Amino acid sequence: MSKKPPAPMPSKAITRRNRRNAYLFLLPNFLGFLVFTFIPVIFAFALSFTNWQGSNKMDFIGIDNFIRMFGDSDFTISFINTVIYTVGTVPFIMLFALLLSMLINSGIKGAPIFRALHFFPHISSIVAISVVWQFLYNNSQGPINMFLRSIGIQNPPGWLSSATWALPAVMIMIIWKYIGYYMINYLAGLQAIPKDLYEAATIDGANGIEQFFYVTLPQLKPTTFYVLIMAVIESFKVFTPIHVMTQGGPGRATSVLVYQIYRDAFVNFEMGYASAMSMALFVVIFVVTLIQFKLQNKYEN
Amino acid sequence: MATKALQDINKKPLTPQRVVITILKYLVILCTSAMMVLPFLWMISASFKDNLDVFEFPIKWIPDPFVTENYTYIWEQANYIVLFANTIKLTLIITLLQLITCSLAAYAFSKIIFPERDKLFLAYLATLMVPFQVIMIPQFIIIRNLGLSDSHLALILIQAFSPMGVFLLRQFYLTIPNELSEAARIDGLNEFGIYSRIILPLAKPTLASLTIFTSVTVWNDFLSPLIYLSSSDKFTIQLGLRNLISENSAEYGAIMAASVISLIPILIVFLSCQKFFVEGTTAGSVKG
Amino acid sequence: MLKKILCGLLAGAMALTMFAGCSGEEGTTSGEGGSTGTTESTGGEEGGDASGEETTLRLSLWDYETVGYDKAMVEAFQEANPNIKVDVVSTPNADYASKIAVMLSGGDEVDVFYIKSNTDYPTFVMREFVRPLSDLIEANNFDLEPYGTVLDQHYRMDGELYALPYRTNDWVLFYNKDIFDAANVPYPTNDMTWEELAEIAPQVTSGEGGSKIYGMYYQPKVSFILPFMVGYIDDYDNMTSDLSQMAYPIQYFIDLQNSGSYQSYAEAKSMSQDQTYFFNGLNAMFYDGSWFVQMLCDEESVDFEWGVAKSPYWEGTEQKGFATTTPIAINSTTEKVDAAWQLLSFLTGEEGAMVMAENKMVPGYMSDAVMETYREVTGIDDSSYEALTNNVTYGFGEPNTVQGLLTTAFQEELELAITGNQSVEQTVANMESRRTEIIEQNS
Repeated sequence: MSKKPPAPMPSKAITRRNRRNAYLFLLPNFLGFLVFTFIPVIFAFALSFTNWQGSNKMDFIGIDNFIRMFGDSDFTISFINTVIYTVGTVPFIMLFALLLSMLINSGIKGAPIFRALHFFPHISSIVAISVVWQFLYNNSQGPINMFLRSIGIQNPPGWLSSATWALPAVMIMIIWKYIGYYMINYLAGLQAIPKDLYEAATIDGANGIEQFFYVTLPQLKPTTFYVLIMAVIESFKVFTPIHVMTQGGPGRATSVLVYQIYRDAFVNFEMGYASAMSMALFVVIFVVTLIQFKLQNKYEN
Repeated sequence: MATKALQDINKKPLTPQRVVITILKYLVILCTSAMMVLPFLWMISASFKDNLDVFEFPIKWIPDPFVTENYTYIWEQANYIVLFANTIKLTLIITLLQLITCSLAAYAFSKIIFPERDKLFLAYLATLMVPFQVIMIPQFIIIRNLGLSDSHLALILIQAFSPMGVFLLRQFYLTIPNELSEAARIDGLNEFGIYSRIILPLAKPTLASLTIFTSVTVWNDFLSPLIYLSSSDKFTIQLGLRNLISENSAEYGAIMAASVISLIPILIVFLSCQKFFVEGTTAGSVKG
Repeated sequence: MLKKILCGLLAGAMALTMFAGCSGEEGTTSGEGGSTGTTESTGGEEGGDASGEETTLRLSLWDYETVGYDKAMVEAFQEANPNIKVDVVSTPNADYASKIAVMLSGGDEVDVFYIKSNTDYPTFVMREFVRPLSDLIEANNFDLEPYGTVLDQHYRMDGELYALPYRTNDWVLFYNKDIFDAANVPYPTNDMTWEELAEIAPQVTSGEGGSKIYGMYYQPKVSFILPFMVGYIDDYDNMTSDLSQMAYPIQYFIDLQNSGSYQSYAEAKSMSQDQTYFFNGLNAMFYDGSWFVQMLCDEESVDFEWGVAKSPYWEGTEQKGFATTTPIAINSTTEKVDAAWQLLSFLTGEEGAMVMAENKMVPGYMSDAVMETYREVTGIDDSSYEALTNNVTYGFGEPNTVQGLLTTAFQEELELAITGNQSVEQTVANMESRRTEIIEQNS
């Protein structure tokens, strides 16, 4: 990719012109973003230092909410679950999405159909999907356990009813659901790779695997960066599948952070505390993202 | 069939190794496709079953008895037409606005150099990291003060300026060599000209994916319509779907039927955006 | 040049949003009347036009279109009060919590609202979302007698009332007479213990596989299972009761499950089972709320005789059953207090109760006239009617904000026990330690 030396410091006049141009381009999006996203986020940030409970009184209580989190087993358990969930889904989603997009892009017949089929899980409504998967995971007669038994596994897991397996069960469903989604990203990224790069590589005698590592992967870096960051953010914020499918159960086995935030904010009206928990979540995601940012820049130079 | 396909793609001599690889490729893709689509076939099959038969073991793929009542039941809930119309309207407007505003903003974030660019962009990204559940109430207060409670405009405004769309497009613009825009600048094109004549045409595949992502998101969105809409004549498909689950009994056959139907429009969007991925497929392929 | 194009684009975008806005606005005006029900116009609209002065109230509830009685009550109210127009905001039941929370905290003008259950009610009181009602009750000479003991049990907090119940849910035992007849087993009585039930259940269990008839059935929701268990403890209160006693009822449930006369909780849950399984004659006995009477009466596919018995109780305890109620409250910020009271007192009072009874639901306001109507409309036999009336009930204890948290925590631990993830001793110990934690956190 562009391995140019860093652009020379632009002069003041150029900076001024660039800035004007930039803000003109940004304006339509920025206005909406500012009013409907940024300000609410700042408000939520401020709330995390209060004891607001939805009604009028709103007292500043410093970092009490943050201290409270450490003694709250709901928070610690759901935090750990969220981390397990993220670590257990993101790499698989990315790997499968990349491999499948390359497979579909490798000139096989019927690629448009295969693309569409892989996108089905993402476009189906989550309500229907979770009903289907609960059924698939049925302990005694569900198709998944039938299959496992047929290949000789005598005691297949209890999946959603097992405290050990419920979270993996949800994770498998999520991987299934999101492969197609991120596959689309990779497909668009693959389209952007100039074909002469491959031709040049072929002339240089690179085989398929070498082409993958020296052409495809480096060229896909911006896409991978996007997929990684979005997948991490989305999985740290997972809510709907849990809310619809397990309600955090059995026990607290599938309780994730945003599910706790939801319960505290809307069932218990602890808006201040819920905001504080989401700030903790924010800090974690932000640090992870910053590290990715730094890594990306490092590789690029 | 595999051999024929092979000959079409690779004009190289056939070797046993290549045949095996091609066969493997098809095997893998067929397996994963089956995994992706089987639950959906189950949904279709269930949508033609009585509520009780839906969860029967062993699975009967062909419903017996074959009932179409789930579909007529949904159809009779007259407002399903309204729900569809509302959802289509919202999806179209929000997707269009996102394409415009995000592609412009992404240009500033990737092709124009200004001092606070990266910090501003990080602020964009940062807002993605805060769960919707806690910004819901402040957002609601803003919408209310603008006098937009219970209107589609509220939903449009909160979704039309997505940081995600900006991020997606920015990442793609970064792959376009700066030499291209520099050359255009020397040729006398201004920034907007570069954006509209150089960058946008190149970004078609990514614009197509943003179209798909946004329309799927809006189409399947449940939480924001739930919070912002109050009158039933403004409701969306997903709200209608949840209404089929009452407190102590759910119409699973009807839920499946409604899900199947609501999938169709979004499938059309997907298929019509597909051709942007097809362009030059073989060129970008990894020749295994 | 650039500026021009950008401006043009922006103007275009603005125009588009404006256009969208217009159609949105249009929706508001045309939808105003429609929001009480898009399908038909209610009496209130015409009446409202006649009398010049009209108050509009916003009423928040769930499942308005699917649950018939709420609609019937609101329509009856509109007919009786043509100068008050009721705008109904309906939400799918599973997400009512989010909707009402945002409306109340976000300052939306909702005047009267339903609360999911009396167990959620204390939180609304503590967060000051609901208006005290004593002054209104006094000023209007509103008779509280027909509510029975439930007001003191569920509603009075520091002597004040903040809501009234419009619906009573007595947990009772439904039974399929045909199955009992076929097995030649006497029907469950109004004076049966859980221990006796466990003995009967295998006798009315028969068949195999998908068409197996289970002797006993609970909906696979822990929130429906915990209630009958806590009845084992005298004067149960989440806050103070000795939880080690829970071991007995939990073990009871597990034994029942293992005996094969109750399909396992996990199985039933994975098949998203609900009360329709009783409709279809697949259960001999079913422990559920009294709302189920309405569904049994109205569901055409029910082709068997059924009856209702009082909730079983535990051997050696006083006979009593679990009950919850559904409260309606007035938003503390509303300015239309009089109209709001008119609506609230209609829905929770005699008139509303009458509509509820006509719709085969047990109301909160149980005057003799109302219950007589209920009996007539449902056409249930004497013993079933007796099962639904004059019940001594218990709940989860004194109303306070921690109750909801404790109930949830106990349910979570209980679910681990009945799905075989955790031993009974461990469950009881965890309940104990989580109670300590929650009370500490919220003191």
